Amino acid sequence: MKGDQIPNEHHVAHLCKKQHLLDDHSGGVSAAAFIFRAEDNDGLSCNWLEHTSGTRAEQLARVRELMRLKRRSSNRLAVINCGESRAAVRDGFGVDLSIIEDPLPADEKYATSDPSHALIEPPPGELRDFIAASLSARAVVEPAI
Amino acid sequence: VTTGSALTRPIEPILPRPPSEQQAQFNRSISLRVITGVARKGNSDGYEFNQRAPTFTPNETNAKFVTSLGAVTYGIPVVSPFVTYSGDHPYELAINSALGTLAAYGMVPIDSGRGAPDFRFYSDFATVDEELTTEAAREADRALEQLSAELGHAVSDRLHELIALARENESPETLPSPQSFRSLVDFLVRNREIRKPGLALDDEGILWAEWRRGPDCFAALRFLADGNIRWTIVTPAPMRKSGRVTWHGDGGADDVRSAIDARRALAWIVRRAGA
Repeated sequence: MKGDQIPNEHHVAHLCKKQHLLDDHSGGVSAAAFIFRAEDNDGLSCNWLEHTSGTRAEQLARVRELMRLKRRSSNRLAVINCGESRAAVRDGFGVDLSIIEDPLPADEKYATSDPSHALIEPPPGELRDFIAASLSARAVVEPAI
Repeated sequence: VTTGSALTRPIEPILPRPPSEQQAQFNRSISLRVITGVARKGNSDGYEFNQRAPTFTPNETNAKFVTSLGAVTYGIPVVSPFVTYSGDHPYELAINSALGTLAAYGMVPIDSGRGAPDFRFYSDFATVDEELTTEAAREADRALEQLSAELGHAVSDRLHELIALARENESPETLPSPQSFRSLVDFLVRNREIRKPGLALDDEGILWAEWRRGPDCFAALRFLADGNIRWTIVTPAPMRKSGRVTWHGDGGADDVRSAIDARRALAWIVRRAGA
């Protein structure tokens, strides 16, 4: 249901641009992918993988179908575990990280709904960059297309 | 024009002026390694401006010069401007770098007693806040070519790529902030013994440098548009304890280096001598 916390054992995928990826041996995603801009009042858009049953590959495939953001072959999905991310943020910064369901209905622009849509809600402003670093460090990178 | 005379009183600051045609022409021809200045008449007559190209030495005057210019000059041979003049007319000086024009004004020439007059800055250079324009970005390209010899091609190539990716983006605000760019390069030039970080650019035009050994062992630096660096460091908890320890803060390049050096678990970031 909209606004419910996504369970700790579940995962969300956040779309990243090529300039958000690190060019090092880790091949990981940078904190640049998780910054909360002023216009991101509601939170960072992401998709809830376990909303769909099946293997991880099947979940990712379904999320790619539902995702409304324009994707390029150079984009990637940064997948984070909700519980691990919350624990890292709680341990490191003493605040609770909220990752909530935010299903999107069909409308004039989009013919189909996106029940997997979720939001990483903005943490306190002074902590956002630090929390972005914490989230990115735990992300697993998957193809976006 | 008399060479070697000195003013005996401070000059009133002059507000920066729009670049002249001559200065615009000059901007097109500069590169990072050769940073030079142009002085323009602030009054009827009384001075001319010369330039010379010594290797940078961190004396007090140059230290201020370098501090003002930040990343683009530190440790790199610069064209150190000096002035010759015959009167005490105010003048202004524009230091042209690969990332834009930094206007200096209100300098106080000091007779160094060593022939040519020395000078000290009466105030800091004005900060270039505008977004990296196409022209500035082209100059940044040239700057990066120069920098590759200093930092290695890997850093230069990656910054090239990030600028190119930002240009492709629909949103011009994602172009790298000049100050962020300067701050990152400054940090890397001043800390050459540090391993090359992973580099990335966020949607606010701010550059990140990150080193990573795992989710509980990493350092992430965000080079802010105000020149400060926002750092997050996570290391495994000390022996016989589980979990991780997180530090974070804002500060200058020296603060960040101190923070890294203070965490022994991050020793791997610093390249071993001879490695």
